Amino acid sequence: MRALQRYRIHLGTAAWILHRLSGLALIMYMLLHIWVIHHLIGGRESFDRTMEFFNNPLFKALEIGLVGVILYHLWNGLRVTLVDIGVAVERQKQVFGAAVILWLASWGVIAYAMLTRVGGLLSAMARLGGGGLS
Amino acid sequence: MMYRENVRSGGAVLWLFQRVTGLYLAFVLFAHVWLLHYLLREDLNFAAVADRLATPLWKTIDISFLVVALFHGLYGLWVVLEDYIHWGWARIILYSAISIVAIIALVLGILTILPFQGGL
Repeated sequence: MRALQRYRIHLGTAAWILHRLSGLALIMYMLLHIWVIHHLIGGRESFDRTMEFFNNPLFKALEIGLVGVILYHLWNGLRVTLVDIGVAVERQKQVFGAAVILWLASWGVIAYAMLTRVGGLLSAMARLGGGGLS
Repeated sequence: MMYRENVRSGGAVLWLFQRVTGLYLAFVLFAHVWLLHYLLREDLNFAAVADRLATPLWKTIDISFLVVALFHGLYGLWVVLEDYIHWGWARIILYSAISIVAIIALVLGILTILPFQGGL
């Protein structure tokens, strides 16, 4: 019982630390994103030169990771809000499990979509290897 | 109750606002990612985004997105830093730094979105 309680506290603490770390990462990304997109001011050439740098498999893979970070912050944020307003407090474990499942499932669906679309990671890799996917 | 630090510091309204903005971001961010990384079936470049970005509807959506995301992110950062920085003037310096970053990012974002005319 004591071991169980300690496990639960550790899980909650880990989720809390990850929430802060994912938030910090998203702030850094947001500020960089605003900086990158501001090249629109310079018109077509300036923007396309900037985006050329990011249109490769490395950044397309990083974007899929970014979506995972966003979705973690989203689902854990919803879970924490439920705890804060006192909804399903006696079922916190189930809520936690549901949040993890929703996080991984939504990440899986969106990652698959980003991976397989034309202009996505797979077509960028095929283009890099001289293949004909896109 | 470790999530209540912002309530303790006297911001019940801010606590609520952080949740409301979070919910708003969940929907707008989903639409943003889905549109640009799934529906758009090509590499992201000027031609792919210019027409959409030049419409008043998307300017409104993107500016609200910018404002809400900056608030949610930088207020969240402030709450986190409050837990570690207890020195009076250190807090004032940090608070000023966060405000300056927020204003620079806001102005840069608005300058990008608002006057944008599209196909140049």
